Amino acid sequence: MLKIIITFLVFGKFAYIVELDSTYEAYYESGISERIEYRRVKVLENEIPEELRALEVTYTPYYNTADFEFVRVIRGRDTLYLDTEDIVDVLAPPDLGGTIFWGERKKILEIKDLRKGDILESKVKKYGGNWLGPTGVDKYKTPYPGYFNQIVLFGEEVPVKKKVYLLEELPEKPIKFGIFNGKIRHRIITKDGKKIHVFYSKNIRPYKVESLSPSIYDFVPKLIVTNIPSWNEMSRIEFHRAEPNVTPNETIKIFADSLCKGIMDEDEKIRRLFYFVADEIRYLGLIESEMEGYEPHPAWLTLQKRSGVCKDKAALLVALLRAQGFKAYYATTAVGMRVENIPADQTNHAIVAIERGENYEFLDPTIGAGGRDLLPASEGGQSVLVSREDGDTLRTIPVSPAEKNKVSIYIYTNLSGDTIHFVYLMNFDGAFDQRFRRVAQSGRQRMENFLHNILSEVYSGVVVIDSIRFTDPKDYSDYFKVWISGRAFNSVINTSDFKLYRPVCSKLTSSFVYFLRHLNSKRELDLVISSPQTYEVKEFVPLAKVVEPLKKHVSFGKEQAYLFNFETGYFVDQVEGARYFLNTEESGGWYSLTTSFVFSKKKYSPVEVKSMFKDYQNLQESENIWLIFKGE
Amino acid sequence: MLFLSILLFGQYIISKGDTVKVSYKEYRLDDSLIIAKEERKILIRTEEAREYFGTIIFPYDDSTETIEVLYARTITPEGDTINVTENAINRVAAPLVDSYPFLKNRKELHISFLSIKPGSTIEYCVERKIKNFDYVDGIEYFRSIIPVEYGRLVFHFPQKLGLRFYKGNTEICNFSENLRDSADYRVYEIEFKNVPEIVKNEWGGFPPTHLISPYVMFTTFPSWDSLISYISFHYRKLEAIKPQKMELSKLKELSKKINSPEWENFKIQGYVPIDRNRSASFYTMTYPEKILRIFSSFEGLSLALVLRYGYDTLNLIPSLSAIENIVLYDGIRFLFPIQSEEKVLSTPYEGHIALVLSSDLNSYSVEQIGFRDVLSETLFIDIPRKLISFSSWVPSSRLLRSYSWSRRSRVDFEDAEKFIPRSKFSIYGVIKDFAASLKYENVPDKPYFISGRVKYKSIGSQIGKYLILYIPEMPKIEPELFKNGYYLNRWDVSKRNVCFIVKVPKGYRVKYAPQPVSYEDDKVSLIRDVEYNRGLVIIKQSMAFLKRYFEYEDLVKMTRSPEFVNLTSPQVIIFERKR
Repeated sequence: MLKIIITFLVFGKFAYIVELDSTYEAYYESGISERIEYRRVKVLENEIPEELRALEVTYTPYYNTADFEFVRVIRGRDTLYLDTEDIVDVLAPPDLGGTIFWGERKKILEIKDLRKGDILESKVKKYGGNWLGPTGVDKYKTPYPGYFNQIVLFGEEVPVKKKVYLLEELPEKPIKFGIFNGKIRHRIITKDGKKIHVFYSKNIRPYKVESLSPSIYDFVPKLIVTNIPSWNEMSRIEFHRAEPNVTPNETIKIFADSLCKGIMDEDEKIRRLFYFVADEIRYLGLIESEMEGYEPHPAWLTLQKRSGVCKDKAALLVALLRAQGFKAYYATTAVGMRVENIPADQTNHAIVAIERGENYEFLDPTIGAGGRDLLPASEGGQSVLVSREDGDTLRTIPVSPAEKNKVSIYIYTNLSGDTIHFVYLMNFDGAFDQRFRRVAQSGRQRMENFLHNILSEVYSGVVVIDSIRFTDPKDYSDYFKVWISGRAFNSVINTSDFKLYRPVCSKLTSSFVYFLRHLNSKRELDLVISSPQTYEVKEFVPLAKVVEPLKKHVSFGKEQAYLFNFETGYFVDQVEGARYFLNTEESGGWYSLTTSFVFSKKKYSPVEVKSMFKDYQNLQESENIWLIFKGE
Repeated sequence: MLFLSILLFGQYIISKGDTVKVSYKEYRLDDSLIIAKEERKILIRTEEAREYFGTIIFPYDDSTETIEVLYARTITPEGDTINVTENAINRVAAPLVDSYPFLKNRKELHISFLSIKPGSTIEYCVERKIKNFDYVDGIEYFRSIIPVEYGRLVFHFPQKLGLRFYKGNTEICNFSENLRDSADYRVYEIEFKNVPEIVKNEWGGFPPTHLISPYVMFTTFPSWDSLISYISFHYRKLEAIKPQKMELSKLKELSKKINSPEWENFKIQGYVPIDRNRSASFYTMTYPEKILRIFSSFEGLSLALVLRYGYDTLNLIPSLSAIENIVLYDGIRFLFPIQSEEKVLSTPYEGHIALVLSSDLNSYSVEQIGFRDVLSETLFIDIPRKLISFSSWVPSSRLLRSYSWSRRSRVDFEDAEKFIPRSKFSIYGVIKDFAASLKYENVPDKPYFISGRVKYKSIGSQIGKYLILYIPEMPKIEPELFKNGYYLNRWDVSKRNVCFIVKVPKGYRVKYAPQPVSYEDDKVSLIRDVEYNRGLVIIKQSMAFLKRYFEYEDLVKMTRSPEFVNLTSPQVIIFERKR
């Protein structure tokens, strides 16, 4: 009975469960492998989820193969084998928002009339390497020739009764393995003289993805098997693969000279070359080499075609930098997921490393495009492997601290009649520079609309913007700044004796923090934000006009994690500039209201998220404040 | 949220010199073949235009069409010609094939232009040949996201084909047309010059293209009756196949039937066959299938073809291109089943005209989809007890079934906070405790009803002798954000009723309360009643939109009216401590 209850509780709300997911894999000297994947699924609902309406496998011709051996439906005592002639074999749609055309294909088999209680079984055979590579003389190969490696997740969004991964070890090239994010059992058996590793788990609870949660590779039990001996070896392989294409030829040298003409300062040269590659090379992945996905295109070709993906952009920048005498190297990293410290193919992105003194400086002309910083703050803390002739170890990109990624806004508010006059000085530093600059790069009108929308959300009444100035989006000499002056109507409540105004600093601060709406008290997974970051909005009001200005200071937070702060204060001289902006002759100083949020980390545990949620609510409730202005 | 907006920006262009210099399209029709040739020259000046036009996609169906690239090249500012290489022309499966393998013939031709620099011109010419068609029907738009300097559209067709045209919004550009006959053929030629670009409203409310772009709609259907007959003919055939009647042993046989070219053709073509760009979208391709499944699963439902906003059978040629979607009608309500939820009311189509097919599919009637979507809320604010009791009738997005958050697991809306979060009440003071419950979640005939209580440490802001209680204003609309098109009354309810009952604390008197408001015209109805009754202040506010789309000028007029401003401005009740 208990079993029935538990089964109902665990499985009852799922449309299906995986009864068995079993894979047998054997690898060869070359690093390629052969694998058989068997899967048995039980349908629990009448409404069939989309992923069971069709089964699909992907493969890349000339590199690997994938074939359904059978797909069958078992209903009671009947078994129906689906006709594999109905399999549809198509060229897959381009990846990454329609930008990557590397020749991947899909075999899809539609499953018709599946019903509650049915068992769906499938067996798939795969052969070849385990990455996307479209062409080449050798039909089957792996990105690290002679080496095998594999990543297997032990968990799905539905319950899995049993998952088994069996790996037949090649005596000449034994494997090592690492288990991460939880438990996976392991034992070794010998069959027909073969050593077989058995990795298995039973009754695996389903995982649930929450908004802004980490990649599933960072929290679902994960097995990495590999026979790549070291990071050094990987670094060497990457070096020899990239080197011919990152070595500058005459075209690259001439072009680099033309870009850097007249520039003496080394940092300035780096910036000039970076901004060219970031802004002028379009993100597009076409087949140009035998190892797409790994081998960068020759720098001259990327320059000529003005297009490429991350690896090609990185290679072009390396070549341009080398042409100007910098010690620049091609480097690989991972975006959106952690790299475990076991040498295996865990990267999905390429950047640039410049050796300066004993350290490397990292540059990312792909994700960093459109921003002032040469490396987006979002990549701080990630592992990176620099491609060197003698190899290199796995390194870590330094984290960009919260104070460097800052929105700071000064608002000067004055009341004239029933109209609020305002001046905004907005500074977007670090990670925020790229976000706001990108808006401005789309044109003045777009930026104006964008700012109008911000202010329209902040003020209850009608907003009229009199003037907007902002940094030229292509001027990367300083972080992005915006200056606005305008008026808000109907934002003041008139009584017979006085006027009421609700300061906007708190509302404005909250409107900038994209992840606040993802906070809740029921969080189960870590919350990951783009980078440590700070927000500070100060609103100044002429002190002489405020009746009984309140002194208030509330602060909520956890040390080294986050801080929500709201405080009021008086200033006499510090905001001298405000008088000029508002063109008033206020005397007696200014009353200030400051809201500041600091998020010191990129990742927050569920406990921290819950406490952040509570503290944010506390702040919202505590910062409700009205200012009484003297009547006229 | 601000950052969400930034993330959503995606590919967006405010033209800074980017221009469609020449746009030429030619249809040559005869009884069994359509040849559509498209040529364009586009001047690229900005990165945004480079990204947007850098790869041009042509959806097609390789079972009925062929599409060939006659040329595709980049002319650099220096005058060099860079032809698109073979590896930059890719024919891939349409993304929806993943879910619907029987649509394996749906393909996309991607042409990626190379060596684009600011000042480059991209040029291409593609030729599409279409065979096996029952009718000709489509729509051509002349406006793009960048200005069009010069365009020409030509139809060559046999007179006996009975092709008819309907044009709209031609006043937006310099437009001229010419119809001439030669032997058995007729030539209809359109020229358009200086068409301004479409500038999107980024904060929602982007109007459908047919409201803002000059266009020509064309069809060979002689009447609405014939069009409805055509659709009914197909539905009648499909309706006979009821999945629940299937037996496993007959599955293979049935599968063959389902995969018959006739069935595929219907599903693929949907109801907008010539408008290939549109028919490649998910909705058009698969929606009829979903509708049919529901239609055939429940008795008493009718199929309703919703026309695009502003269209009526009385003023339009009978064209499949005029149909925006297919929904269901139960005799009272229009049902809009989208992919993972089934809404009882057809909120997205309020104000549209629908052609409702009779249940036997033999006749149809024309109905207006009325405005029904109402949010009603009552709050009792008991300041002395530091307590707010609330109840809310949630707008019409009631779900017939539980909502599927993920594709694999199902999560029921058991949690009232999903509808009314605690944070909504933080404006009244410091919250001590919050509780809310959802009623009628399993009673499809009743709207969701949520009630709850909020206990506070303190309510309102005390400043000296004054106690200030915030009364939330009605949602504001900022016309400036919609000046490039229309405000679309779509994201929210069409009518909102909110009642505040505030208990006056002892020792205080009401110093200030909002003024009453009353206004109604053909677009909006606004009411605020303020009543004082036995120590209570009762404020009833109501805002109802009577139209679906508002043009900028109307929006300005409406939002600048004193009544609208009053209702959407911050309001408070101020209590003054008695001496």
